[in-house]
Amino acid sequence: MKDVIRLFGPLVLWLASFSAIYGLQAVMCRNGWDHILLIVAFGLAIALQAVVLLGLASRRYGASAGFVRRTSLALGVVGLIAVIWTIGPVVFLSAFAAG
Amino acid sequence: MCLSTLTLLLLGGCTQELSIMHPAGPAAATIATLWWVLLVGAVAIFTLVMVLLLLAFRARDAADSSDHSHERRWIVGLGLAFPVTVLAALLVYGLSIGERLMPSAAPDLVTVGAEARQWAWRFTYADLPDRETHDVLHIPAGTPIDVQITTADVIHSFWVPRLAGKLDAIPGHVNVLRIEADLPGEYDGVSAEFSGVGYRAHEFTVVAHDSAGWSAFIAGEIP
Amino acid sequence: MNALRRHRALSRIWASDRSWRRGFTTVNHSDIGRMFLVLAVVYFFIGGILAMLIRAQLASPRSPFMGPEIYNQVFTMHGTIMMFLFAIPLFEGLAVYFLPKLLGARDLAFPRLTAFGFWCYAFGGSMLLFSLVAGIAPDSGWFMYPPLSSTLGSPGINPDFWLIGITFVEISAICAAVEITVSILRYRAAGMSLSRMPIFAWYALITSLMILTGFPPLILGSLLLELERAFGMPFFQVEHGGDSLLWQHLFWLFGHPEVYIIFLPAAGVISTILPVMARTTLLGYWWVVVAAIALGVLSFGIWVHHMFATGIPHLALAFFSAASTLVAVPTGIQVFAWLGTIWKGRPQMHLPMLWVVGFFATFVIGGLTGVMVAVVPFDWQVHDTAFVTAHLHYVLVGGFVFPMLAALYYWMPHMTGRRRFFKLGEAAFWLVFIGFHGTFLLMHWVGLLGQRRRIDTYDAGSGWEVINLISSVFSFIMAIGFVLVLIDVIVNAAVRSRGPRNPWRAGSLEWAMPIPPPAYNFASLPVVASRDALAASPDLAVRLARGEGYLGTPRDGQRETLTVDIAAGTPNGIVVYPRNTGLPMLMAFVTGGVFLGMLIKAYWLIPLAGIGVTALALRWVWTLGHQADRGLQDAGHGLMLPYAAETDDPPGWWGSVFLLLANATFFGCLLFGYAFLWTVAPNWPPPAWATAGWISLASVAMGAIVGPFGIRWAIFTVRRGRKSAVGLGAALVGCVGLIAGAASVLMSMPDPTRHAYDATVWVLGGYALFHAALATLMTGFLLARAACGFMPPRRLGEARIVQLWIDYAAFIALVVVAVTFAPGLLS
Repeated sequence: MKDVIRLFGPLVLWLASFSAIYGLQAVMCRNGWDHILLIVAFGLAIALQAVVLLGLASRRYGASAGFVRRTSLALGVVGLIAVIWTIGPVVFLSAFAAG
Repeated sequence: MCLSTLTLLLLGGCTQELSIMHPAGPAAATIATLWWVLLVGAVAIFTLVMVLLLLAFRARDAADSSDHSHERRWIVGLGLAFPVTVLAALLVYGLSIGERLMPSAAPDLVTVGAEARQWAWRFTYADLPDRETHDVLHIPAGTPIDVQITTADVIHSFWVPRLAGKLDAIPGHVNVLRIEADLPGEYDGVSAEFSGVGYRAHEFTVVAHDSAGWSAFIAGEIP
Repeated sequence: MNALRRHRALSRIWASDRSWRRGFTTVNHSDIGRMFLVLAVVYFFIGGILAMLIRAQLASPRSPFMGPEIYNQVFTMHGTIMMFLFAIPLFEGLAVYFLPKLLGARDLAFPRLTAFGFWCYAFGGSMLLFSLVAGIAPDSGWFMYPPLSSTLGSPGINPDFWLIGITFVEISAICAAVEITVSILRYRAAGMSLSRMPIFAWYALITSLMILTGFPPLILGSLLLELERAFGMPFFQVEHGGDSLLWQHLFWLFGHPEVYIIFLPAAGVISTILPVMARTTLLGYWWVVVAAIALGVLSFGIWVHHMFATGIPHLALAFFSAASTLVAVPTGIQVFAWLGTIWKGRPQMHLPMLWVVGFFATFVIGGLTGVMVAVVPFDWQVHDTAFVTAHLHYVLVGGFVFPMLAALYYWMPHMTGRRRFFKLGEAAFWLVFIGFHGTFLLMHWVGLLGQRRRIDTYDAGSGWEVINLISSVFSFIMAIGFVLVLIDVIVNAAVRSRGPRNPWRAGSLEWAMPIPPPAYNFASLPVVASRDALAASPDLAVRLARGEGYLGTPRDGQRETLTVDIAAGTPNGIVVYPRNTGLPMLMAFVTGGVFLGMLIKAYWLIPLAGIGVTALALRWVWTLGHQADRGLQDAGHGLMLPYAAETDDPPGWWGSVFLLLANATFFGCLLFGYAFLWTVAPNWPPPAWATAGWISLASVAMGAIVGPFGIRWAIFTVRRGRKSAVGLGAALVGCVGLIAGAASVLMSMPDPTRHAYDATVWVLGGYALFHAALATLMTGFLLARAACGFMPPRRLGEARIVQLWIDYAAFIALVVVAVTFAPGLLS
C-alpha cells in the first residue's frame, strides 16, 4: 500500500496545491488582498513538491531499488514540472482582470 | 487540392453572419488569426503522425536497433520533447492573447447592459439611463464597448461571433465583455447557452452606428 | 488427480445455477462480465437510434420531424445513455470478465458485490429507459445546468429521472471500482509483482481510483439538486445564497475525469492488442505506466476548461488552460510509444489491427482539436458550437469505441472458443470509419460558421444546409456499419467452427486456459516470473491443467483463490468465495426502493426500503466468518497459508479503505461547496449563523474520543484472549455521542430552505448523522458476533473494519461541528 502512495502521492500533492491556489485566488479577489500572496503560495507549492521528490529519493521514505522506485521518482519529477507549468501563470498575468 | 476547393465552395457560398472566420472587430480578428495558426499546426502534426504510422508498416529486418534507442527516439524525443515545446509555445501565445482581450481602461469606453431572459434580450445604456431596447443593441462603431451581461432567469450567453468571443449570463453575477465593431453595420448575435424550448430563436442584432448615427441615437432620434 | 478429474471437480464447485435461475443467482465474474457487456451494447444501440433521430432532424432546415420538446429529450438522453449506460458499463464488463484471467486469479475480490453492481445498473438504467419511452425523459442537456434543470426551468419530473436514476447507476460504478482496485492490488498470480502486471491492469487500476474520486462530486451535486427540487433547499438559487456555478464546478469535477475514465481503459486495450498484432512487446512499458498515472491525476485539475465562458477571472482560467495543455504530454507519450511499438515490430493487418489504425487516425484529430479548445480565447468563440460536438465525438468514438471494437475482435475467439469465418467485419469497419468521418469532420467547420450545439433546427440560408445534410447521410452509413458489426458478431458466435487456443500467439495469462473459459479460469494457479508469462512458458496451460500450480486440489468443495502481497506478489492468503445466491439481486431491488420513493415522492418508501437494505446487509455480512480458527492451509506444493479472513487485513478491510476514499472525496466536495458558496455566492452572510449548545459540543468531543478508543481497546483485549464487551460497549457509547452531536447540528437548522448556509449545514449534519448511525450499527453487529463466538484472537479483521468506520465517523463529526459552529462563534 505504501508503494501505491509513493506512486500517486506526488501528483495528488500537485492537485492539492493547484486547487488551493485556485481557491486562494478566488478568496483574494473577494477580499482585495495583494497579488504577492499568490507568488508566495506558488513558491511554497514548488518547495513542497521538491521535498516530496527528495523524500522519494531518500533511503528512509523512498522505495527500495526497482520498478516502484524508478516510477515514483519519475512521477515526483512530473509533479514538480506540473506545479511550475500550471501555477506559473501567476508570475506573468494580472490577478483580477476579469470578464 | 480537393480540400481547398471544397473550402472555398463552403466559404464562398455561405452567409457569414455568425462565422468566427469573418471577423469585424479587433477581438474576433485576433481569435480568427489564432484559429488559422492552430489549424496549420494541427494539420502539420496530424500529417506527421499519419506518415509515421504508415512508415511503421513497411517491411524491415527483425532487430535493427535495441529497445533502448527506440525508446529514446520515440518516447523521449517525439513523445516528450516535441509536445512539451509546442505546447509551451502555444500556452504562452494563448495566454497573452487572453490577457489582451480583457476589458481594460479606455478613454472613449461606452458601457451598455444586456439582460437575457427566456427568450428575449433587453439592452440598456449607461449614457441613456431611461432608454431600453429589445433584441437590438445599438453601439458606436470603432469604439470599445463594455457589455454588462446579466440574466433574469436561467443561464444564457451573449455571443456576437463577428465581434468577439462569448460570455455567459449567470444568475446573480454581472459578467463584463469587451466588444468593438471596426465599421458601422449590423452584426448578428445569439444566446449560446441551451435554455429550453425557445433556445434556437433566442437571437439579437448589434447595430454599430457611425458617429453621426450614434449622436442621433443618444439624442433619442432612433426608435 | 488427473487433469480431467480436476476439471470435473472444479466445474462442479464453480458452476452457476442451471436454467432460468442462472442470471439471478450467479456470482461468477465471467457470467456477470458477459451480462454487463450485453446490456451495455443494448444501450449503445438505443443511444445510437437517438443519434439517428437527431441527424434525421438536422438533415434539413426547419425540419418538422421533431419539435423542440421532443428533440430536447432526444439529445439529452443520447448523451446520458452513451456516457453513463454504455461507456462506463462496457469498461466494467470488460474489466470484470478479463481481469481475473489476466491476473492469474479465479475471480474478483467480492463476487456478490459484482452481481449487486450489475443489478443496480440494470434497475437504474431501466428507470431512465422508462422515462424515455413514456416521453418524460430529462430534457435539460446531459449536463443539466440549473436553474434550467431546477424547479425554475423544469418544474416537471423529467430531471428527477436523471438525478435519481443516474445516481442509482453510479452505485454500480463505485462498487466495480472498489472491487477492481482491491482485485488488482491483492488478487494476482504468485510472483506477479507490480512491474510484471499486464499493462491493462495498470490502466484498470488507475481508472478505478479515478472512478472512486471522480464520481462522488456528481453524486453530491445530484443529491443537492434533487434536495433543491424536492424540498426547496436553495443550493443553486442566488436569491437565497446559492449559486448555479456550484453545480458547474461539481459536475465538471466529475465530468472531466469521466472522459479520461472512458479513454484510459481503451488506451489499455490498445497497449495490450497492438504489441500482439505487431508480434513484439510494448515499447516503453515503464514510460506508459508513468504516463497513465500522470494522465489519471492531471485530468482532475482541468475541469474549469468547460467553464471558460462563465466569467471566471483570466488568471484562474490560465491555470486550467496550462493544465489542459500539459495533459496532452502524457497522452502524446502513449501515442508515440504505440507508434514506436509498431515500428520495431512486424505488424500484421488482422481485423483488430484495422480498428487500431482507425483509432489512430481518429483519436489524434480529436486530441488536436482538444488542444485547440484548451486555448482560452479560441474556446471563447467555439464553446457551445458544433465544433465542440465534433471534437468530443472524435475523442470518444475514436478513443473509446474503436479500441473497444478492436478488443471485441481480439477477444472474441477467447470468449466463444470459435474461429471467425464470416468475414463481414472488414466491410463493417470501412462503413463505420468512412461514415464516422463523413459525419463529424465537416461538423467542425459548421461550428466555426456559427452553428450552436443543441439547436433543434436552423434556417434555410444560414449556409449550414449542405454540411448538415452530408453529416446526416454519412451518419446512416456509420449506423449500417455498426449493425453489420452486430450481425458479424452474432453469426460468428453462433456458428460452430472451433478455433485454436491462442490464435494471436499472445503472451498474457488469459490465453493459458481452455477456451471458452471454464467457470474456474485456471485449474491450478500459475507462478509468474516475467511480464509475458505465457511467452516464457508456452505449455503453461497444459501444466496448470495438470495441477502444477497452486490450489490445484479442491478442498471441502470450496471455491478458492490466492491473495498476494501488493508490491512483490508473494502469496499471503487463501480466499474462500461465496456460493451462488440471489441476495445481491434482491439487495439491488430493495435499494431501488429508496430511489423510487424519492422519484415518485412516496417518501414513506424510503425508510422502509432503508430498513430492508440494512437487514439484507446484515445477512450479507453475517454469512461470512467462522466460529473457530482453522489455521494454516496447504495451498499446494507445501506452501502453507492462512485463510485471508483470518488475517488482520482481510479483503473486506481493503474494500472499506477504498470505499472510504470515495466517501471522503464526497465529504471533501461538500466542504468545497460550503467554502465556494461562502466566498463566491452573492447574498452571504446568511440571516443567522448556527449556534451550539455546550452539550452538543461535549457529546461530539466525547464520542470522537471514546468511540475510536473503545474499538481499539476491544481489539487489544481480544488479542490477549480476553472478552471484548467493555471495549465494544465503550465504542457503542462513543458512537451514540456522535449521533447526538450530529443531531444537534441538524436541529440547529430548523428551516433548511431559508438560505444556502442553512441547507448546507443541514446536509453536513445529515451526513455526520448517517455515518454515526452506521458506526453504531456496525458496533452492535460486532457485539452480536462476539456474543456468538465469532471473535477469537486470530480473526480480528471484522473488528478492524469497524474501527475504520468508527474513526471516519468520529473524524467527520468533529469537522462538521467545527465548520458549522465556527463562523457563529467567531463573529
